[in-house]
Amino acid sequence: MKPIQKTDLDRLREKIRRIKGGRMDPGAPSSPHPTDETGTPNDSLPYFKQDQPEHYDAEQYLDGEVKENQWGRYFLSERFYPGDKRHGNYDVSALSDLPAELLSGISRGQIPPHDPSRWAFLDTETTGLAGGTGTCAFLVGVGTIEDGGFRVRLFFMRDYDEEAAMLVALADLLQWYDVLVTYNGKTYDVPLLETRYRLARKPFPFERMHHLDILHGARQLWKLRMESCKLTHLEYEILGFVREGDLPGEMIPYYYFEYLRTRQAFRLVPLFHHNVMDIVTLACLTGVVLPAFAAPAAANLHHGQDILGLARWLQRGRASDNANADANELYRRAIDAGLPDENLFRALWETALIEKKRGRRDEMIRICRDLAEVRNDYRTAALAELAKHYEHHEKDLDQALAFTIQALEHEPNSELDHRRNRLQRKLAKQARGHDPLQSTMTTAS
Amino acid sequence: MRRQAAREADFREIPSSVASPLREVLSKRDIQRLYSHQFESWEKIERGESIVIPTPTASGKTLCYNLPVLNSLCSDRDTCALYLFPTKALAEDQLDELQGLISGMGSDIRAFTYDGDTPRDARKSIRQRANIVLTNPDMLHSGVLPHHTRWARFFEHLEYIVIDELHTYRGVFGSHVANIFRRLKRICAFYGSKPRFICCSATIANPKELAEKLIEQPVSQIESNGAPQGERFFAFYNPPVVNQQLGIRRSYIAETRRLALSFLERGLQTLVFANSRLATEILVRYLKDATARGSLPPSSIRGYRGGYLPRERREIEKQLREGQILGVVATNALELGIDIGSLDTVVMAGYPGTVASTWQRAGRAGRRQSLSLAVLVGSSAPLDQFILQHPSYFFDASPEHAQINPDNLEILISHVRCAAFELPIQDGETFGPHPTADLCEFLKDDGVLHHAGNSWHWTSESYPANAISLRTITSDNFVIVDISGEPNVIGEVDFNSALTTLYEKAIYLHEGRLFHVERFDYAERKAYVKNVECDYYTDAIDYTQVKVIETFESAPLGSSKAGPAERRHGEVRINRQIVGFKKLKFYTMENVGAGNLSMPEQELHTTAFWLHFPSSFLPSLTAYSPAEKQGGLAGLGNVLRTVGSLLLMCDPRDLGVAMSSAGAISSDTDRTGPASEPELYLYDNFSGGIGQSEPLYCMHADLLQRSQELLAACPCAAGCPSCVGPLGEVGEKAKEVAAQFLNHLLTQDSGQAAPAWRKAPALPGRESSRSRSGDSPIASVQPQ
Repeated sequence: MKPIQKTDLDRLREKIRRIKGGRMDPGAPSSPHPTDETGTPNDSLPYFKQDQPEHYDAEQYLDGEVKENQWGRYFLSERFYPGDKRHGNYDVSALSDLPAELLSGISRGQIPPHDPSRWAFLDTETTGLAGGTGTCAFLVGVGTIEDGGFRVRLFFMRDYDEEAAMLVALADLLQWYDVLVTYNGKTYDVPLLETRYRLARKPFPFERMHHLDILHGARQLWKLRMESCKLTHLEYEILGFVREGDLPGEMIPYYYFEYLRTRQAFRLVPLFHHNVMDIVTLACLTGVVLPAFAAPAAANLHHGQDILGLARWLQRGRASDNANADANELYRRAIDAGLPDENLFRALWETALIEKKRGRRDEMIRICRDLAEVRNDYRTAALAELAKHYEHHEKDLDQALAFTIQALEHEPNSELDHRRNRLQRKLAKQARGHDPLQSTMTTAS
Repeated sequence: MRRQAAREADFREIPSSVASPLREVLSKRDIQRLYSHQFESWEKIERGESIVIPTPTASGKTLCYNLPVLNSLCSDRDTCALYLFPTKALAEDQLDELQGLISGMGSDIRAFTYDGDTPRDARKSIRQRANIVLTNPDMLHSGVLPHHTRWARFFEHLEYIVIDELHTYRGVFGSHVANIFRRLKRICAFYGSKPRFICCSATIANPKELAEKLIEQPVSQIESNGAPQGERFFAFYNPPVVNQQLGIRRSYIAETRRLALSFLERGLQTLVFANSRLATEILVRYLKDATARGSLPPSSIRGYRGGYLPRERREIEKQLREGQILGVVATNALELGIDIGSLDTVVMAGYPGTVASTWQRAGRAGRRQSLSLAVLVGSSAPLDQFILQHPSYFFDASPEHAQINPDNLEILISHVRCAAFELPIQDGETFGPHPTADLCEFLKDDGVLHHAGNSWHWTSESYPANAISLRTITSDNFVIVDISGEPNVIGEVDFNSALTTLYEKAIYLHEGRLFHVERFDYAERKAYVKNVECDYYTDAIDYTQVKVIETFESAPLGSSKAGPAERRHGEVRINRQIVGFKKLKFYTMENVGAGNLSMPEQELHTTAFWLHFPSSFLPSLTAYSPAEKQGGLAGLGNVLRTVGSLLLMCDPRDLGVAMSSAGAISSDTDRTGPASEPELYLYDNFSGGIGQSEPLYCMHADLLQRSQELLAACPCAAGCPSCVGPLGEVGEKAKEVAAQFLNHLLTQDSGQAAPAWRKAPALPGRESSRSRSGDSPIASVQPQ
C-alpha cells in the first residue's frame, strides 16, 4: 500500500477546486485566524480570545451562562414571559389555567390528565434535515408553564464537545415533567434526539413521558383552510402574531456552522430568538387546539372549514350516539358558517350518512334530495340512497326505478344496473298480478 | 475438448457440537454427513477464524455459513448475522433457502431481506427484531450505516458477516465495498461487537488475497472441496471463417442455436448463456421457432434475464429443477448462485469475459452421477478469438486475479466523509490502515468537518452516502430518445460511450437498426435520434493528450538497434476531446465524409502502464510511412488492451488506450519539433486509478508474449477487429507493424521475470494455437 501523501491531497484539493469552478476558498477556513466577510483577521475584536477557547463569548451576547455537570460544560439561557404578556392575540397567562383533562380529548383517551405545570414544550434547532447520525441538535428549547407565566430554557452546545453535557442537562430537567408537547416531534425532534443520546451513550429521557404532537391536531383543524400548517404560518394566521427579524429555517444550519468557524456569537442571536418564538407559539397554539378537541360541540371556531375538520375528526373516532350527535351538529354549524362547494357537498353527504346511522330517515332523505338536485361528486350516491329508500321503506317501486335510472344517467355502474333490472322484474311481476297494461308502459320507459 | 474425471464425494461426520434441532433438519433433508469443505469451514469458524470458501457452483457452500449461524442462534437467540449479496435477487433466493431450514427446525429465528424493495412500514420491525438480515452493499452503504443508531440492537449482537459471491467485489465496485467494510467495522467497534467474516467465492486466482484486501484482517482459506462430481467434458467451438479478408466468421448466435438444438432434440436438459439481453431474446425466439417445427413443445424453452419479474424467475428455477423445462437461455443472471440444480449441457454463446465466470457457467453442467458437457462458442470479438486459439491458456492457466484498490484517494475520501457522518472521527483514529489527520484536515478545508474536543465532527447539511454510487455512475448516463414517431426511450449509454457514439449527425446502431442523432443535449444527458436507412456509419475522431505526472517505476524492455525501450508505470493526466467524426461506408470502409465537433473536454487523472520508445526507434523502421507506424502503434494498443483485460480480469473498457501525441507519429501536429519519444499508454479508465497499472507493469512478459501469440494466431490477412482493430481505423499495415514492435520489445527480454504469483504457466509455443487433447482424447466437435 502506498501511504496517502500530503501531495496527493493537494492534488485532489486542486481538482475539487477546479470542479467547483473556484467556489471553494481554501484560504479562509484553513487559516489559523478567523476572518470576517471582508477577509480581514478579526482576532483583534474583543470577543475573540483564541487561546482560551473556554471563554467563548456566548454569555456576552445572549442572556445566559455557562453551566457545568459531570460530563462537561454547556450553555443555558432562560427567558421568562410574565402572565400579562400577550403573544399575538393569545394571553400567555391563560396557559396556566388550562385544565388537566384537556389532554384526553385530543389523544382519544390515551393521555391521562396532567396539570399544565407538568407539561414541557420542546423544539430543536438542528444542523440539517438530512436525517441519519450526522445530523445534530445543537440547540434544544424547553418551555414550561409556571404560576406567574411561561419560562423558556435554551440548552445550547457552543461546540460539539459540549453535546453530552447538554443532553444530560436536558434529561435532568425533563425528569420533572410528564407530558412532552412538540410540533412534528414524533417524526422529527424525538427520533433525532434519540440518535444523539445513543451516540453520546446517555440514557434517553423521553421513554417515560407521554408525547403530544400538536401538528396532528393543527392539521386536523386547519389543513382545509390553510395553504400550509407550518408553525410560523399558523402563528400569523391563528395567533395574529407578526414575527420580526426572524431568519428562514433553511438558514439555521448555515448560521451555526458559521458561528463554529468564526466564533462570532452575534450570529447566534437570531437562532436563539427563532427557537424561543417557536416554543411560545407552540404553547399558545396548544392552548387553542386542545380545548377544541376536548369539547368539540362547544369549540370556539368560526370558519366553516375549521369546524368541518373537527367534525371529521369526531366522526372518525369511536362511534357513539353522543359523538354522532356532536359531529352532526358540527357539520351543520360548518355548513351554516359557509363552505366552499367541494367542502359543502361532502359535508352534506357526511351529514346524510350520520342521520341514516342515527335512524333519522327524513333528515337523510331531505339532504339526499338536495344533493340530487345539482351537479356534485355525491349526486349518484345520493340518488342511489334515494332509490334504496323508496324501494325498501316507501315500497314505491316506480319512484325507486326513476331514481335508479337518473343515477345511471350520471354514472353507470354494475350495482345500479343490477338494481334497475331487479326493480323492473319486480314491477313486471306486480303488473302481471294486477294490470298488464301498466307493466308494459313501465318497462318501456 | 477436455475431460474432467468423475470425483467421489469426500464426507465427514457431522460434528458433535451441532445442535440437535439442526441435526434433525439436516437428516430430514437426507444430509447424514458433511462434505469435507463444509466440515473444514465449521471447524475454523468454531475456532473464531474468518474464512473464505472458494468452491464451484452447486457444491453446498450455503450450508458452510448457514450451519454455524443457525447453530449459534440455537444456543443464543440474541445472535445477529448480516448476509451480503451483490444483487437483490440473490438475497431473495437465499432467504427462501434459509427460511426452509428455519421452519424445518421448528424455530422462530427471524430472517428478512432489507433493501430498496422493503416496504417502509416493515423496516422498523425488521430493525428491531431480525436475527439475520440479507441485504446488498448499496443498502448497507446508504440505508443502514448512516442510520446505525436505529440498528443498535443488531450491531450489538452482530457475530457473523457473510459475504457471498466475493469475486464480484472487484474493480471500482470492490474498492468501494472495501471502504464500506472499514465503516462497518468502525460501527461494530462502537457497539462493542467484533463479528467474524465468512466469505464465499467462485474460483479466482486470489480468493484469500481479495478477502483480506476487502475486510483487512487475516482470513483463512478453505482448501478442501468434498462435493462429488460426475464426468465432465468441456469443448471449444470456433465458427468457421467465411471471409478470410475481413476475418469474418459464421454467426456465433446461429451456431449456438444449432448446437443447442441438437442437444435438446436428444432430450438433454440444456442451459444456453448469452452475453446480452438482446442475444438472449434472439436465441429464445430461434429455439422456440425451431422446436415448434420439431417434436418438442415450445413451452419447454424459456428465457431468463434481469428484466423478468421475480415471480416469473422463481417459477422458471423451479421448473428447471423439476425437469419440466428442457432448455433455458440466460444472461449472467443465472451465473451467480441461484439454485437450479444441475443440467446435462451448457452452451455459451460467446466468451463470458473472464476465466472465472466461464468456469462458473460451465459448472452449471454437472450431474453428480452421469456425464455432462459444456461448449463455448466463440464470437469474433478479440477476447473470444484469443481464448479459442489458446485453449491451454484457459484450461491450464490459473483463473484471473481480482484487483481492487481501496486506497484510491477519491474513493477513500468519499467514504471518510460517510464515516465522519456516521461517527465523529477521533484524533489518532485510523481508517483502514490510513491515519486520518490529513484526510480530516482536507475535509475541513472543504467545509464539511469541524474539530472539537478530540474529534472531527460532520458539519454539513448533506447526506454524503447519497452522493456516492458504488457501481457505474448511473446518474451520468445518457438516455437515447427515438423521435421517429412518438418519443420513445430506446436505450441508455454510459457517459464515456455517449461522447463517442451520440454526437450530433452520428449514426447510432441499436439492435441492428440505424439511427441518426438529431440533437445531443449534453446538459440534460439526452440524445434524440431518428430511424434512418443509409449505407454508412460514423466514427468519432478523438484527440487525446497524455501528460505523465509521476513515473513510479521503469525498466528497460527488449533491445533493438535503436536502443532499449522501457516499460513504466505511474500517474498520468488524460485530456480527451472529440474533435470530429468520419463517415465510413459499410463493408468497404471507404471514407465518404467528415465533420467537426466541439464536445466538452474530459480530464482524467489516473494511473497508467506504458511503453516508452527511444527517439530513434520509429525512424529505424524505414519500411513504413509515419501514418503506417502510427496505425501500427494504435493496433498494438488494441491488442495490449485485449490481453491486458484478460490478465487483469477486467472489462476491456476499464482500460483506456492512448498514444503520446508528440510530433513524429502524429499526422496533425508539427513535425519540426525535437525527435520525439513515442509512448503507448494503457490507463485505468477511472479517475484516480483502481490499481491495474502496477500489475500490468509486473506482468509485462506475459502481456507482450500473449499479444504476440494473439497476432500470430489470428487468421486474418492484415488485421481485423479480432486483433489490431478495424482496418478503417488502423490502416492496412497495422498488423504487420504491430508485430514488428512486439518483436523488438520481446528480443532479449528475459531478465525481469514477473513475481511468481502473477506468472502464468509457460506456453508451449505456437502449437498451443491448435486444439490439444486433454486427459483423454475425444473426437473434436467439427463444424458441419
